[in-house]
Amino acid sequence: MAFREKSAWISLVLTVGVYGFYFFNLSHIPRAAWPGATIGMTVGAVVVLTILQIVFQAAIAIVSPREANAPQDERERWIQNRATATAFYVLQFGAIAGAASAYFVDRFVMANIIVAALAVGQVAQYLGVIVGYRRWG
Amino acid sequence: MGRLPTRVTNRIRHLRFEHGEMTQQQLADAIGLTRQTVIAIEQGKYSPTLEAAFRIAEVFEVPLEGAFQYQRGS
Repeated sequence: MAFREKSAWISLVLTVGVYGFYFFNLSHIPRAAWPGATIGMTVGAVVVLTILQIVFQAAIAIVSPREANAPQDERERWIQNRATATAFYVLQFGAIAGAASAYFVDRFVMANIIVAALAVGQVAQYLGVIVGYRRWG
Repeated sequence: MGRLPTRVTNRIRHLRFEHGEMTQQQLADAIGLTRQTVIAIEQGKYSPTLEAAFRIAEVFEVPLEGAFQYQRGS
């Protein structure tokens, strides 16, 4: 498996895991407690995800230093750009959903819709990269 | 950017054989691509940019048509 596909798999699993845990916990918190819990949980999720990404990405880079240090070539850039374009549409949909939710729900629900949009957008990008390497790799 | 599997075929495997069994990694290093990309090109899964195609032809000292062919058809 190509280094960058491996990297995308790690990012995918970590993102799904961390945000899955975040939303699972959030769903078990009474709505009245959301204002106090949301900010701390969001910051916590971002910090944990960042730390896990650094640790795991560094680990695979140590195992494959040559591939990790090599710049992306044209096929890899193309796969990356294609995945980013797909993720952009997902993010756009989430942004519209977030904006529209302002008319129906409170700002904490709206904030979580935006967090969900970011998470799903990231997942779409990682999936796009993985599919790209499977299909054109 | 036509990068889907196309009617563009190539003789890279044959040309590598003719050049002293040049490895995919050696070709990749010579043209500044990854080995995975050379494999994808060789298998027809990915069509390289025009610039990369010229670089490949240059390595094997053949004209572009000597390395890549376009299959006309429906």
